[in-house]
Amino acid sequence: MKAFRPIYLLIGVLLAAGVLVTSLRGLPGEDLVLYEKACTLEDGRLGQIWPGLSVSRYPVAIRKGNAEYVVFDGEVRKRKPVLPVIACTAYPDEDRIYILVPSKSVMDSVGQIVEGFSGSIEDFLIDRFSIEGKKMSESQYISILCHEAMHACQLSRWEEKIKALAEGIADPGIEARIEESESDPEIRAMYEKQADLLYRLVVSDEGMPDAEAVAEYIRTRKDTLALVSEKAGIDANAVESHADLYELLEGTARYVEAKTALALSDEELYGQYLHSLKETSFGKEKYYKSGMGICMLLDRLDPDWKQDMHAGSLSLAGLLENTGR
Amino acid sequence: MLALIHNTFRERIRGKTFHVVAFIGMAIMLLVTTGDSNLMINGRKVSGFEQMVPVALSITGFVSGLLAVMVSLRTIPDEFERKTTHLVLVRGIKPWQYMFSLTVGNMLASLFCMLSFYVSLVVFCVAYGRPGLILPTFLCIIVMSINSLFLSAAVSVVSIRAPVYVAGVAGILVYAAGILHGVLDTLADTAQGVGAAAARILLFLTPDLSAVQQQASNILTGAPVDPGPVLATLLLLYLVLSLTFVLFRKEV
Repeated sequence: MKAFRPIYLLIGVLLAAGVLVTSLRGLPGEDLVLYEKACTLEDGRLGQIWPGLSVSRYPVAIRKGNAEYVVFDGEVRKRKPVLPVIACTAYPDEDRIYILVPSKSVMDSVGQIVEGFSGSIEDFLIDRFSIEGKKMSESQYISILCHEAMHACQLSRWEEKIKALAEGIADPGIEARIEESESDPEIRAMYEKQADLLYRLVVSDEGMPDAEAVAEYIRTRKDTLALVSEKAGIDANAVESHADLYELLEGTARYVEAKTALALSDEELYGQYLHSLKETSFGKEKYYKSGMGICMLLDRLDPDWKQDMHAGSLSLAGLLENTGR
Repeated sequence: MLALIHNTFRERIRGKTFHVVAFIGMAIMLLVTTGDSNLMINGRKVSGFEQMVPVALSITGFVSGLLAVMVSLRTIPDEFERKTTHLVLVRGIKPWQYMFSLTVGNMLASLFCMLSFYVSLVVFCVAYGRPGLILPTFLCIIVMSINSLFLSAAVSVVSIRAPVYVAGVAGILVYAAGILHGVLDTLADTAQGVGAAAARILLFLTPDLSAVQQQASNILTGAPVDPGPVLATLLLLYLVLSLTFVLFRKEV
């Protein structure tokens, strides 16, 4: 009995020391490995996906817990989080553009926060109680990192283009009104038709997409936007600018995400991106998908379309309309 | 103290509740590991013994967690109600020794429950000609048992001072918070103000049961095991167990 107290105390000290040692570790090696894997795509594969796309050009802030680990120029620097959110994004700060992503373990525990695929709440709960929880794959994480690198690229190269489209949306409450209008059955049916047309065009086996089908898609898209404008009582140009802006920003980024999966030879993940076009989405997500689908169509219509995007002031849909003629 | 622990353990595993729940758990395990089930995970049909093993272990973890709460609920309140406490204390046993022994007895009973589920899995491993799975599944169960031990200790300690139903609810809440720890942690990280600080403290005191399960899964799949969450849960278990040294009821 005399030995009980010292032994009990010793166990406590050993446990506390163990916890202390493990908690002093910085950014998990797993995140650095994934960052480096993303950087290896700069061997020409990222440039093929999008000219000028790069991960290593921007400081990448990986958030874990209450700290951010900024990886840049071969160094890892710990700092307090700059943005009070856990999200995947790119943002300008001082004279640099930063990429912000949560660490892989955070992504695994909460699922894909902003970008990509997400399951139902039931799936989520089953997953939590299961010992083999569904984790984000390495390819998925790297793809998301490249998605955010695309946003960083947009911020550094498309400032004027983004500004022009944003100016077209005069009313800041337009987004909420567009989303409200999506409960209208007629509008929903139009979005469904639009998604179906795009999906069939993207997955079609024909080398060059059928010009008539492309024209039908463009017509349906315009009709949908006109209907939204009419039902929501918003200026038609503002509705169009809103769609154009998000397709440009998020559509191209989702396209980069999907193509990164392909560059990593993850055919299954790429298939999921293609398959996602089949499902009609609402809210901002619909622009992620339609923008990605248009980019995939443009790849087949005009291999140099990305250069035109950088140079010109056209939206994705505008470019598709011109190229598809 | 050892006699008290032994006595508590024997009494717990004799309980009717334990037998009923254990029987149900084993029946579920039998169905999961043998039947041509329609279970789908991530849109794919799960079939074959190897694929069923993680499912069986998940069920073991879940049922054992609930069982740990149930097994530990009444032990200490019953002692006070039956006035056994008085009989024990007059024999020179100190209150902390008594509470510590009862709590450890509960923990051992919870561990026994988990191992009894596992025995049926071992039987199926042998029957299906997969003896190679016995060692990894055993190590997996040992790591998962840390969660059950913590739940058992937490419920036992709460039941020293609080009514049975409060201890039960606390146990379930701790289990849920532990399993959803990663999500709650992330939410707390994004929150600000006094509420956020309180949430962080609560989460700091709740073990990440999900991370422990993940390490158990890593053992099964051969992935690297992170000792951090396991050690952190063991430390919290140690602290909870240490509360038995200071908590006691006024009425004996």
